[in-house]
Amino acid sequence: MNGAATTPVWRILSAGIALLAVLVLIYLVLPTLVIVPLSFSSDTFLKFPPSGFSTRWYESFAASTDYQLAILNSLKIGVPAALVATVFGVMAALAVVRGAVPFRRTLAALIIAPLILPQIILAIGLFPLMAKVGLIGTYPGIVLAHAVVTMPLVFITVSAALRNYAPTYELAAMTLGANPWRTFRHVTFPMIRPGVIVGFIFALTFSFDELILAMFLTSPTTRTVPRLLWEQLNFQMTPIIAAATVVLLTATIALLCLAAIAGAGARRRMGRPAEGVNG
Amino acid sequence: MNDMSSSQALGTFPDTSRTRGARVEFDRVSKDYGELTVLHETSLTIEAGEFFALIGPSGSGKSTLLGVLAGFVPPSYGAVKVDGTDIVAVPPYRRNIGMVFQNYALFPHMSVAENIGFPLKMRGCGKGEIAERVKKALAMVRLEALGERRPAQLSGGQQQRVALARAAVYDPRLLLMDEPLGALDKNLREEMQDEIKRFQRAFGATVIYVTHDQQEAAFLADRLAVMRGGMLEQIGTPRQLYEMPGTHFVASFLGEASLLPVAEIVERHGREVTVRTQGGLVLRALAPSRVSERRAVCLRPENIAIGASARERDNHFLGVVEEAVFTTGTLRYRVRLPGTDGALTVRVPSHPGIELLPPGASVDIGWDATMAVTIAEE
Repeated sequence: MNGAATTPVWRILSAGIALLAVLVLIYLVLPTLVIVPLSFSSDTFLKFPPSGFSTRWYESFAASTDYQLAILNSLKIGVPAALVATVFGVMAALAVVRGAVPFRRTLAALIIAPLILPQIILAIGLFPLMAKVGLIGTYPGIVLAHAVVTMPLVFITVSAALRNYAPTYELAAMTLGANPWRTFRHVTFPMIRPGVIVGFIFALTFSFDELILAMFLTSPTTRTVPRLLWEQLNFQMTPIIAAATVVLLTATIALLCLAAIAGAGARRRMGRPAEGVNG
Repeated sequence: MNDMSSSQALGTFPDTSRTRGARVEFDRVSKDYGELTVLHETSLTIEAGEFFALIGPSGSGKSTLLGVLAGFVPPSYGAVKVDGTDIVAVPPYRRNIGMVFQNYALFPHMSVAENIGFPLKMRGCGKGEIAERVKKALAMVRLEALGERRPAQLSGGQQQRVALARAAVYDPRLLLMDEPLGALDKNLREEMQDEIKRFQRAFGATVIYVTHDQQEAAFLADRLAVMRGGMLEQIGTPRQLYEMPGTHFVASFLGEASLLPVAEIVERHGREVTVRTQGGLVLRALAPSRVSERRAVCLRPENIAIGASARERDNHFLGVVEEAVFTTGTLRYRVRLPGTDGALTVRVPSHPGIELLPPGASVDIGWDATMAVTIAEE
C-alpha cells in the first residue's frame, strides 16, 4: 500500500483531486463573497465589478428606517420561532429516541418533512388556513410557520445528542430517586444541552434567512429582512441591498460560529481526557 | 450472612452488627414481548441480607429479572414483593433500591461528589447533610481526595467504586448489581470482588448480582441461580451447584465436567445407584432425589484419581491417555475409557515428583461413588 502511494501516477492523481477539492470550495464560497465588493461600491446601482470604493451604502443602510424595522421584525419573529421550535423539537426527539412510541421511523420522517419538502408547498397550504383564522400579516402567523419549518433542525441535532449516549444514565437517575421531570432537568438536559443550543441557533439562522413563507405570511409591518431585500431587488437595484446582505451574512456566520463553539466546548467538558490517575 | 462480627477484615468499612437487608420475592413473574417470551413464569425468594447471584449466558433472562425488580421492565404477569409488599406498581424512583450498572452510568457533567450526592439531593436532604454523607461515602470507598474530579478523569476501578458509593449513600436495603465488573480487566476484577464482598458484609443490604462469570458468582454469592432461556435452571449454594448439579447445563456452566451417558439403572441403594453407561461400563454414583428419564453421570476433573491410588476407588477402570498438558499448578489429562465415545477430563496437582504421562499410555483411573453424581441429560 505504501509503495502505491509514492508512485508518480498516484502523486499526480492525488494532486489533481486536491486541486478539484479546492476549486469546488472556491465555487461554493465565491458567489457568496462577490457581494462583499459590491457592497463597497460607489455606483448608484448594482454592477460588477464596481467602479469605485465607498462606504456610503452602509451609511444609508444604517440610516434606513425600513431596514431598522425589518431587522427588528426578523428578531421578533426569529427568536420566538426558534424557542417554540426548540421546545417542541426537544420533546419530539425525546419521544422518538427514548420513548416507547410505535412507528418511530415513520414518525421521524414526518417530523423532518417540513424541512425537506419545498417551502412553497407549505406556504400555499398555510396561506388559506391562516387567512381563515386571521393570522396573515401578524407576528403569531409567521412565528408559527417558522417554528414548523425549523423544528426539524432542533429535532435532528437533539436526536443526535440523545443517540450519543446510552439510556442507562436516565435509568440510573431513576433508581437514585429522580422522577421523570427531575431526571430530565438534572441528567438528560445537561447531557443534550449542546445539541439543544446548536439546534436553537440553526433554527434562528434559518428563520433569519427564510424568504418564501415571509412573502406569503408577512405584511409591510411585519416584513423581515429577506422580504425587504427581495422587494427592493424588484424596484431599486442599489448597492444598499449588497450592504444589507453582507450584514445579514455576517450575523449568520457569527451565529454558526457560536453553534460550533457550543458543540466543541461541550465535547471538551464531557469527553474522556487522559486515562485515570492510578488503579 | 449472620456473621457480621468479622470486623478485622472490614478495613475502613463501618461495622453494621445487624442485618438490614430486604427480603425479595418473585411470585410467578413472567415477561413477554408479544410472541417472544424472555422470562417464563419464575418464582424465587431471596432472603434478607443475602448475597444472591444470577448467572447464565446472555439472553437467559437474568437482566430481565433484575430489570423487573428495579422497575425498568414491567412484568407481564406476577408479583414482585419486597418485605412482603408488592412493588410492581411503584415507579422506579420510589423503590429506594440501589443499582450499580455495568458501565457505571456516572453522570459525566457532574463531579464525583455531585454524583454521590445526587440521590440525597433527590431525597431533599440539605446541603450540609449531603456534604457530610458524601464525605463519609467517599471515605468508605477510599476516594477521599477525588471528590472534585469528573468521572472521566478516574480509572475504571475508581469509577466502579464511585458507582458503588452512589448506589449505597442513601442506605438502600436492596442493592442490585448488573455485571458491575464487566468492564474491568482480570486483575482489577479480582481486587474489586474482594472489595464488593467486604462492602456487602459491612453494609448489610441484600445484594442481587448479575454476572455471566461463574467464578465471580461462586466467590461472592451465598446462593446463586443459574438461568437459561428465560427460566431458572437450578438454585443453590455455589458448592451445591458445583458438586450436585441437576442438569448437564448447570454442570458445564459451572466449571468443567465430564459426562458419561447412562443406559440403565442396575441397582438402587439409598442415595447411591449402580448404573450401566452407554459404553457398557458399570459404575456407582450418587443419585439426587430428582431422577429424570435421560441421565448421565457427571464427573469433576479434580475428583478423578490417576495411577496406583485409583485402584482403591469404588469405580476403577483402565484408560488410555489421549492428551496431556501442564497448566500452572495442574496436570490436565484427557483419558479415554474402553467403549466410550468421549474422554474424561482429569486434573491432578502438579509437583516435581510427578511424571507427566505421554499420550497413548495406559493408566488406571478411578473415583469413589460419592464423587460422581447422576444428572438430567437433555
